[in-house]
Amino acid sequence: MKGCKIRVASFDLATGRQGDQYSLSSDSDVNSIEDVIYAAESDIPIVAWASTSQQTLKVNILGSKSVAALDAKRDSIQPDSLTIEAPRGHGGKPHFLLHVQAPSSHWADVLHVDTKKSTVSKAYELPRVEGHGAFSASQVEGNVYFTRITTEEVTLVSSTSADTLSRWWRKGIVAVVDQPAPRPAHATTEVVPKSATSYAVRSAVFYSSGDWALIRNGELIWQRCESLASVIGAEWAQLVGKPRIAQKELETESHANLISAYMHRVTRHAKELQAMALMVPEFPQMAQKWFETFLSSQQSSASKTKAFGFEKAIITVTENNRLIALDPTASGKIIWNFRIADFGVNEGLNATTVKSLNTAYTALLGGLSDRLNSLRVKGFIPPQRNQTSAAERSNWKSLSASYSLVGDTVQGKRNGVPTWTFLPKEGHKVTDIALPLSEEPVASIGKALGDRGVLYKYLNPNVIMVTASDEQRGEVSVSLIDAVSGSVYYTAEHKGVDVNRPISSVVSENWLAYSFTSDPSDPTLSKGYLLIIAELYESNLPNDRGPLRNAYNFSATGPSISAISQKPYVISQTFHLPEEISAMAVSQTTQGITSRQLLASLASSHAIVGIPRHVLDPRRPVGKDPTSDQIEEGLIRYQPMIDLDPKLYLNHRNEVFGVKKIVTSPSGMESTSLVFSYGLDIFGTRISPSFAFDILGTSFNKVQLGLTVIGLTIGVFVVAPLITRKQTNQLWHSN
Amino acid sequence: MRLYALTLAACLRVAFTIYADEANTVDYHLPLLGFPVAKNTFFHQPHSDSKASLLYTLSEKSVAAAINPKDGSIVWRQVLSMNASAETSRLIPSSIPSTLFTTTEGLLSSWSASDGRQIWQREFPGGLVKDVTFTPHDQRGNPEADVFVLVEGARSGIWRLDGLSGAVKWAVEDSRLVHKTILRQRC
Repeated sequence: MKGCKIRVASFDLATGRQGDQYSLSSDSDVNSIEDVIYAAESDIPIVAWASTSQQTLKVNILGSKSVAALDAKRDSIQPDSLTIEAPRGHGGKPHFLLHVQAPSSHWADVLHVDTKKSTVSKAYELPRVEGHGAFSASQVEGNVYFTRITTEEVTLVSSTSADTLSRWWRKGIVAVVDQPAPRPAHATTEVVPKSATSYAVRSAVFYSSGDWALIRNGELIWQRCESLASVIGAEWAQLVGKPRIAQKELETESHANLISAYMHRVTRHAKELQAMALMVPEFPQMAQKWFETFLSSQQSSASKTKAFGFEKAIITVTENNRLIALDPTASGKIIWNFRIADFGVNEGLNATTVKSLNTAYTALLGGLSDRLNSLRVKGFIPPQRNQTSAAERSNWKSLSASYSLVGDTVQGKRNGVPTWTFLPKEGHKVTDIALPLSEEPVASIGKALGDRGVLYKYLNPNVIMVTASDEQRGEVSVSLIDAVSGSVYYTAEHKGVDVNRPISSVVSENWLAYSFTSDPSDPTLSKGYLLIIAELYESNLPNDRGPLRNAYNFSATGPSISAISQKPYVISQTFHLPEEISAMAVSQTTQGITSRQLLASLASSHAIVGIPRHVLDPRRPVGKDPTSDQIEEGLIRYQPMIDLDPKLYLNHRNEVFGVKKIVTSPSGMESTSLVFSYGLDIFGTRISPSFAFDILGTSFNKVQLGLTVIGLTIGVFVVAPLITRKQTNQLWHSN
Repeated sequence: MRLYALTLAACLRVAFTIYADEANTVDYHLPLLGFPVAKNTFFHQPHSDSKASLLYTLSEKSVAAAINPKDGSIVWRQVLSMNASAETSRLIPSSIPSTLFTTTEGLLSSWSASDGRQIWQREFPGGLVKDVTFTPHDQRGNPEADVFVLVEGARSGIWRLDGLSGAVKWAVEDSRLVHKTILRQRC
């Protein structure tokens, strides 16, 4: 490749007229501007670049045309890269440091520039040390200091002499468990000379593990885990604990006959009574702890979170191949932070492969639990999953149907044999596939109407929603497909869409929602941010189960009564939003009784909002007030604009930047759902869409209740004999 | 029973968020920056009269931030662009007191160093801001508050702007100019 000559030109400050210029012969070394490793960024008037073999440093002093070459080799070891560290700011001496990095060791030379004679000379050398290190230059009151940070120590030298001014041993490791330890990648330093011989040095060092730490006089003061800013996938994980009653025991009891099950239960209780006798000495302590939790009104105390089932961890995978677990009950603190390569998973995870995090987990699960046990950390493991990727869904045990995105089409397979292919409209490309959660509980099979009728929901856990868009014509099409048979249940097309803006979609129980930005050229159509919701029902008539009635079996691929019979009846509605949605999710609870909230992240106001489902009801009456039946159902009149009430915002005062995805999980309580979002910022919370109906509020006065009960009991025992005596006396005296 | 519970739950439609005393205990927010870029990370004094300095950085995700060196908390943070590339973005401490400059593609912005507010911004349409440098201190030590900008693109050249307002003082257009500018005081 042809080399480049470096051309230096000077311009007059006041007028901009060009002064003299000259070229340097750098053809053999420099191929692009990035190869120039230093160009007079502070008061040091040089241009420097490295030779192609990285063995020599070539320096040109501005104003002269000569190029000096300095050898960077030491002990005949070939360097990998050369970097120059020079102090920022003005007024310092023109001294700089050449940091040479070799495959397994590093060293540095300190060089002085003599502006009068236009020469560069080596002042002294810093010793070669194994491993990697970082150097940084700083300037205080005209003196230049260089700080060297390695994994073991921090040393400070002055630019004038090779004597070490200060040396500190590194205390406090950056809290990751990498083998080998993370190495310092780059650093910036501030030096404060406290007296003639003692200095205070603080450096902000960035480590190869993605942590940014401040080291003051060798000691670690704080660190920020910046790998979390590039999270590409996250999953909720359950704490692995000892089950209270062994699953096996309960199963034996349920399958045996009545007498043997009863005897089994009696013997088990006798054994547990024995175990309880051993726990007697601990009773006072347990009673005290119980009393404390009873009296404490804090909802987020440790024992309460355990009882309520809020104790779940979030396991995240980041772009720099790290696996990090966060604890939502401890303000998102990091539980552990591992490098994926340490577990022997060789393939680098990138954003596309981690779309199905399950495959990553099945590979890691084996090594992960052992490693966690050996390191004695909290054993969070992801929930048990089928040994299949998220693209696969298994129906009944005999069938295994799966689908995958192949090029621009969606293809379905059954038992590995391709069965169906879905092609979007011509010119459209499939951009997104949304699917409902695999085990999403649905509390009711129908929607109760005001006249006591029921509109039966179309519940099919195998549907997937395919979004396809055409960039040229600005069109978006959405299709709801059965993943087993490939039949299309619902399609919608939209014209005049800005395809370059985010289009998000979500599917849950019997409804789907998607949002996009509408920018039509026709002025009669509405422009803005649209949210469309579609609900699926078995039939449009209430109390009607559709053509299938209550058939015992249903096969998606079997012969159908008619082509129309299997299709659900769809009601859809469009709403306008004041802002654009970048990611959507639905809140989840253990039994599905709590009404769901559609969580949406708003990119422009850096917020996450929870829109309640009753606002997004497509059966809301349009153009007229609701009838008495509709009021009973809870329908309000249709308004095209959804006003986002400030009370719906989950993030109150926090500004959550760059949300890419929101993940929700059920907790132990039916009323509460756990939320976690990632992107640039990490944000998590607990939401109670139907008010926390199963948790006592913090203002509930338990002490008063207890005292009242005790008082009444005492009252009953005191007053009862009096009353009986009075009644007996009355009977005696009346006769 | 389920249906009854469902209708009851549906009646409790009040979707409150969280109460004020639950804020920050029930939820958590980790404001992050991304990996700091070496050439854009430095200690700098936000006020020229006090010795206290903040740690400034422009990360690879184009987030400019000031960190308190005592505890690592973010003093202020500005997300410059959600998809600007890291190579063209630079954070430059300026000799003009209490200001910082950022260059992102075709945009040069001047920010207040202590609270992160924008002072002025100049766009060079069709161009990429490649380098920024400042007038050196003159003999008496008074800094002239001017900025030199090297722009590459539709109209490559060197521009001299007034540091406090962003007004253009002069511009030299030379299509051969690329990439790095070198400022040298001629005695």
